[in-house]
Amino acid sequence: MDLKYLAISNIGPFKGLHQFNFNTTSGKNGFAIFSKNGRGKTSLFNAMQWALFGEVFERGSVRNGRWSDGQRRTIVGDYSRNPGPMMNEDAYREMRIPEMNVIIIATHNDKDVQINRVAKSKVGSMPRVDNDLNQNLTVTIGEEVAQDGKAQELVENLFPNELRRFFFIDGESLEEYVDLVKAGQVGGIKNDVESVLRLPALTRGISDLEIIRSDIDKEIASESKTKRKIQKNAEEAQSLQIKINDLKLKLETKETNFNNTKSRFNALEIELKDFGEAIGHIEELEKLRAQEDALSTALKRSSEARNKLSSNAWKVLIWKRANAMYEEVSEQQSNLQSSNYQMDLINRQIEKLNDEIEESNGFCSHCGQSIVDAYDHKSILQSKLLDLKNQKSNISSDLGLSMNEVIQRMGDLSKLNPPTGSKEIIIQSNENWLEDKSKLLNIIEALEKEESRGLEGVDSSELMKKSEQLGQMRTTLRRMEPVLDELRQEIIRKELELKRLDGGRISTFDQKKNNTYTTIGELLNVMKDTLSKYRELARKDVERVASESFRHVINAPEALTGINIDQNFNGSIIGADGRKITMPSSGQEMTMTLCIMDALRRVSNVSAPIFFDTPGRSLDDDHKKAQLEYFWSMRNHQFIIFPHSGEYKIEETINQFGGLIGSAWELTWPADREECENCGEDSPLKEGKIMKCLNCGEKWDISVKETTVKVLEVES
Amino acid sequence: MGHQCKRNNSESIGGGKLSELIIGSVSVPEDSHEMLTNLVYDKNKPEEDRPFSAIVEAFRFAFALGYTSDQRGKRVGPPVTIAPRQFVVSEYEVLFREICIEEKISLGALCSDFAQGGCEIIKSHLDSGGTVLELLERSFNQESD
Repeated sequence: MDLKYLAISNIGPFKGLHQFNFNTTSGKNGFAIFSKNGRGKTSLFNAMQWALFGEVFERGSVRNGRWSDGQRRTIVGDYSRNPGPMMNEDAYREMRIPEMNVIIIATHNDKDVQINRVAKSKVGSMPRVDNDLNQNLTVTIGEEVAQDGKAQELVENLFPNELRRFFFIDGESLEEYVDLVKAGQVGGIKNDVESVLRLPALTRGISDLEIIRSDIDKEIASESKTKRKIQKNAEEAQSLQIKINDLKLKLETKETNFNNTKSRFNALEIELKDFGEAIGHIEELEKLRAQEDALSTALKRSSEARNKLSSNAWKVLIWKRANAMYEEVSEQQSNLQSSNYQMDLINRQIEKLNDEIEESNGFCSHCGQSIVDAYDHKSILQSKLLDLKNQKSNISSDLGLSMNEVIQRMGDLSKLNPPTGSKEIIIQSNENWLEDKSKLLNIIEALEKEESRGLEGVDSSELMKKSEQLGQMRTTLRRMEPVLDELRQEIIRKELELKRLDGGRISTFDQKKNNTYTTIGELLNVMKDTLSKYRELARKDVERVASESFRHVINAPEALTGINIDQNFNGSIIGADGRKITMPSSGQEMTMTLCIMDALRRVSNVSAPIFFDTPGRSLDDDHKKAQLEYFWSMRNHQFIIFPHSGEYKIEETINQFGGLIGSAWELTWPADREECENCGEDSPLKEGKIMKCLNCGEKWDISVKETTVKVLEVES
Repeated sequence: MGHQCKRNNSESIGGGKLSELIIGSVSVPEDSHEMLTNLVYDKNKPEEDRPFSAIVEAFRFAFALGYTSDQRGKRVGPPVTIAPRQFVVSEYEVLFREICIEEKISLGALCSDFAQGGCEIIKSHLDSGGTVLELLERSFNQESD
């Protein structure tokens, strides 16, 4: 594909429509778009990608040994971000219906190609997000016109998206790509080689088949699990079936026994039908005897209880009288305590009086004067003393027993005191015994009476025996019925369990899946082998072509003879001795990488222009020159570089490579203009933000950051 | 019911002096002993009125019944001694000391008299169809009557 014409509108700093004419009559394929930073080189670079592929990504990087694109650029959105949205900000803010547009006109196999991609707001002014935009692609190739999806297919036939990075080269990402090439990481350049093979059917086929095989593998694994489960179920079912059979056999035996017993029971019942009265008598006897047994047992218990409880009966009786004695002694104790207290009191008073009498000598103990009635006072004291002694004597004579004796008596009497409630308990136990005894006697009487009735004309012992048999059989039958029911329920439960186990069984295992899995595996091996062979051929081709380019570009072709791409896709520079250069310079590595990329592109046989943003980055002057010389010399590829002014000087480059350059442009802002556009005067006067031509009076605002495209003159 | 007879049992066998009190031993006549024996529990005869676990328990009941009824019996016939280790007479000194000193009889003799009195009450009650332990209740009822 040869680019003929490019028109962009409202992209980056390009407000309004701007055009680039690549249509040269000279047949020269070199193109250059110079500018300082920020004037729109990268926007132009991105505009081409957007027109072709409908998407632009931020600068890519190498992650985990693979090249990966950066974040997708938006068309509209947050203009404070860097990089901001692709649409020109002024157009975005000023247009009633903002619109961004790129038109590419080219030729391919002698057919005219026109690619027109438009992004236009569908919500009026200032759409917030890309979803607020209508994006349309129209492609015309010869007479064929296509829109959108179909149009995109046509574009990618001309310009495969997977090879985009070999045609849109970003100098600033190149260093990372150098690392990828040097490291020979699997998935890096190896993938590149595969992509230039342009065998998508094969590579995608392998991928698709691997997915299919993986799915089958999962299914087989799942079925194997199911199979194991089925196997387990089968074993359980077998075991369960044996149990069921055993249970059924057991049930059958028990049912037979039950039926036999039932038959005998029925027969015996019929036989004993005529002996109803006798049987009633026998049953009554049995009942009475059972009652007699029960009551005998009850009587034994009550007799035993009475025996234990009656041990305190004598105390109950004796206490009836001893209690009064105890109370009497208790009263004596109280009296004794009271008397003792009085005695103590009297003794203290006597002692005090004795002291007072002894000290009474007729004189005051304080002043020593004689007391007038001292004699009378002493007489009174002596009288009181006598009176107290009499009282003491009386109390002593009233005392009978000593306190110790009283306490001894109380202790002895206490031993005769029965526990509380003993009387009632004993009486109750006696009544219980009497009641039980009475009941037993009544039953014994009833039993004797029943026994005395006798059974005329009946062999009572035989009848009783049969009656007992009947009773036993009835009991047996009643006992057997729930057992049989339980057995039947157990069988039903186990049969349900068996049914559940059988239900999960799959009769046949899908062998076809196994076969398919194997076949796909074999097919995959063949395809991978084929791909590997192609890849190997491509690797050698890339190595060869890259080496050719390298020898043209490198500044020391006599020392550095080519590029080696080993089987691990590790790129390296080969010296004159045929060995790898161990310590190449960064310029040499960069050149090697560019040559490998060029080789990949050439091996792909895709004919399309090459766009190289900031191509001179990391290259020394010699390599930069060699690079341009080589790429611009190619006759079958347009090579469009986007250098900034620091990389390649405009005049120097045009002068040096004018013979190879078809067209060149410079992107400028008003501030970059050093001469008047109107008259060519080269000494304008700066007045604040305004530049003024002193010759013709033309003025321009240098604060405006709106890119203007200037066509540079080149050697025709 | 007063004292049926005042007996001088100070000549009773054994026993030492405690102050002026003679301890003595306890016994009942053979027939009373037999009756008391028939009141002892027999697990094979639960229907019979045998509420006491041992002969001494039966004796103690008879003695208590005689005492509470204030009925002393006249012991006639060969005596059967109640084991002194099982029926410790001195335990009842607190009740009978004064009586014994006053009546000049031994403690054992007085207890024996009360026991005999009790036996007579029991025999009479049993003969009338009653049970031994009914006497317990009756004894209290009589008082309330």
